[in-house]
Amino acid sequence: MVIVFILLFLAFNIASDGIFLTPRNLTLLLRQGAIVAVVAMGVSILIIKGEIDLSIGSAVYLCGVAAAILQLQFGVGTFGTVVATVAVGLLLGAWQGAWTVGVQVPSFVVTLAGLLAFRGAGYYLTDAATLAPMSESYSALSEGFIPPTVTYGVMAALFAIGVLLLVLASRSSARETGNANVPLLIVKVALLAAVAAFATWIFVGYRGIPVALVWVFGCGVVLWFLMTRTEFGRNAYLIGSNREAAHLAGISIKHHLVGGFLIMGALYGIAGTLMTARLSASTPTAGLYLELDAIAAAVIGGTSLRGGIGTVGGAIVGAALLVTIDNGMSILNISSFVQMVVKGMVLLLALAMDRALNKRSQRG
Amino acid sequence: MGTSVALRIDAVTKLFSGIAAVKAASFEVAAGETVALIGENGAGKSTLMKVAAGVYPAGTYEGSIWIGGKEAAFRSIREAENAGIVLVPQELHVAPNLSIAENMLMGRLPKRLGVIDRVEMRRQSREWLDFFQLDVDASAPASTLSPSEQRLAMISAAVNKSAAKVLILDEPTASFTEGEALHLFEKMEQVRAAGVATIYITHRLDEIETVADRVVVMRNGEVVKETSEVKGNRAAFVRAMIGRDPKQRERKPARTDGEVLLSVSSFTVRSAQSELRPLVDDVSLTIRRGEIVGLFGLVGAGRTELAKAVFGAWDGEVTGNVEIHGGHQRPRSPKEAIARGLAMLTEDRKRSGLIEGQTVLANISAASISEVSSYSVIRRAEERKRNLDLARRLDLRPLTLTANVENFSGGNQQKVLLARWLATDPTVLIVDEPTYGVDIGARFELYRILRELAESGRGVLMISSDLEEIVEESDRILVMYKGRITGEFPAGATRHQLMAAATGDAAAA
Repeated sequence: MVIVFILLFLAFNIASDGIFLTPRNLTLLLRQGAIVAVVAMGVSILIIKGEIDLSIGSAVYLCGVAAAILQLQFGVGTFGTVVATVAVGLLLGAWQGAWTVGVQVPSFVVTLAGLLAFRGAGYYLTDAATLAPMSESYSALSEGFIPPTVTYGVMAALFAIGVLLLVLASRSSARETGNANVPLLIVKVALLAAVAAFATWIFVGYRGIPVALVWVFGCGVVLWFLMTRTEFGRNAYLIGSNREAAHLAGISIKHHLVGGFLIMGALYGIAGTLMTARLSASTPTAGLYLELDAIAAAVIGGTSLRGGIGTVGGAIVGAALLVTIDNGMSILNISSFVQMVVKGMVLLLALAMDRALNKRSQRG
Repeated sequence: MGTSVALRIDAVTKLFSGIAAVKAASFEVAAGETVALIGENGAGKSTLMKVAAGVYPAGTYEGSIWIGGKEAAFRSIREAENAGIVLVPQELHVAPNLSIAENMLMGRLPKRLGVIDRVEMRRQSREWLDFFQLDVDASAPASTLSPSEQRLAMISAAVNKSAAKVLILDEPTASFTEGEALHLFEKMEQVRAAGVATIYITHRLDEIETVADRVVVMRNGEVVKETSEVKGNRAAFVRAMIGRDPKQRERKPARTDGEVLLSVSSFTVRSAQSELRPLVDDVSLTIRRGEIVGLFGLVGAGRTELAKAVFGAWDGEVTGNVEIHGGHQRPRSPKEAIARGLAMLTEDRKRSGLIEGQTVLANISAASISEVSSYSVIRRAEERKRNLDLARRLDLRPLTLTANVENFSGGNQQKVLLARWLATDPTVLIVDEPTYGVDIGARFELYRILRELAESGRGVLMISSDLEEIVEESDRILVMYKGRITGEFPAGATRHQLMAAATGDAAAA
């Protein structure tokens, strides 16, 4: 995966005469990827549980519509709008969860219906018109920056926390196996330092850390913890791998599935907020095909469509890869039609790889 | 016995990622002869047979396969079938919603003008079913057949569809009752009379004397014993299979006077779909502290349905009461059952027990993760320590928590599942066919663990259609027939008594 990134970076950089690898472009690239990354995390959790969500684009659009209406027609403040948007997202998630779990309609069908109905509802509420402009403080939720001076501090703090976590992990594994692997720890810390330095170079070289990334980071940390350290996450993998056995082991499938859809719902709200803030408007094409990007990102990041396998971090990496391809092609002035074809092929390739890897692991 | 060699396996070696599953194995089978191929799980029996039957194409193994004096190099199962070698695998792949005829002719459906010829299909399948005197409607869905009937139908299809010269049966009776097995053996006599050579893979040593002319024993990928002295040689076979003398187990006197831990009363279970007679009909039973109660019965007697309903996992209608160690309500879900001290090792390990794709650690914790969590956050070090202790206590091999469960042998998978239930610290443990597909060595370890559990003050309900297991391991034996309990016996009941009760022969019971 790392190699793929380096190759893509180099290829795009050479083809674009050095525009690609500039702090400005990379900052914009990361900000652009934030929305996909947020929903990709949610859909990867659903896929891990053996469900799917095809309604993401429409649901995010509808959340954005809600945000625009609240602010423009009712004059709700920025904070209130965000809370209400997430609440709308939770409602949409609860709706899909109820049909999937309560009525036992496959989530494929429920969310396919959502794909149509949510966008339709948004069009009905707005007459398919663009609602603009959002307030400046609202727009800053995605477009703002943490100033470079503070960015240094933030990056240093994150690096320190990262080193601390690595040392602790190494300690506990040493306790288990009996021997401390110090060289490995040093390599890991060095890698972390390189990544942190690169990120700092990007951020400080432009205008600081984009606020959109803070959302991704926040969601990422919370969901990573949820999926790797809690009962909820553990059971998610068990349900996805063998639902019947999980049920017979006393795991409440219904609660966990509804939980998954609610998480997805909250992420609709956050992504809807980011999207509306980014454009400072709700536009009728917002979020179109977002579900495909999200699913592709999850699968590229190692989530298996057969359920039970995948990580939140992988979904973020997958989103980064997709947006890199997007951004690179845009810089090279490749027509947006061709871009669609290329992204379609990337999705196909990702699924083909998923299949091939599964086959191999079955044989081994 | 026929004199011509039907199949000769010559120095076959098969590697999986560098590790030999079969090492220079050779033996032959003559036409009209039945050879029993025995060995522990992982001894290489199935692998060797898959080489012979073209599952692993020529070039992926070393050595040679000879059919009727000619060397064969099969590139596919179809080529092997055309040459007359047919393998009936242990796990049958029956499509339950397709008709019996379609299942039997799968891959060779008769066609006319490119369209399936239904008349011809029915005629052929009818003819094949008649060969085994199976009186069923070939156009009915395969799901209407019992598992043993399904197997007979598939065996007859295998024998007929390509004029079989060599028939390989991989543990055909694993899920059979004794009666059904005897029925199969009669049919195999018929096949033998037609001059077909049969290779019969089994774990059940008692069957060998009835079936085989010759016995081939494999261990660690090698053929270690080959003999035509089939009768009265069981101890020698066991020694050859496990490479040492089996440990003798001492039997302690049965305890059947402990306090009642589980009491099921006037229990009736119906299927969700039909209004037919109940699957379990007015059953009452008790499990006491310190005892292993064997529940014997033929397939379809309602044992598994009873267990699932007691455990709160039955979809259909259930009436009657279950008291678990004082609690008076019947559990409504597995979750509730577990919370009240019940545990159930399910019958179908692969489908409803193992969580494949996940580690041993996660599989062991599946039913008890909240025991090692605070506010839903897993205490990881404690979880690892607890599970490692359990794995060690059950002698899991290899002893690792980080490997995925599908990489373990059947016996060790069963240990993982048992560990899952031990982790819940159950009051009563229900085990449904605990040693199905488990090799002899691991089997005795499982018995030892169940005995330990009972001795530590739990109650065990052991459901099994393996008479030997029921007779040897139970302190008290219940027998079910057609949804009712038709007999209760103390330890030491004879097989004859149990079989009579299990087949509804009231006079003998």
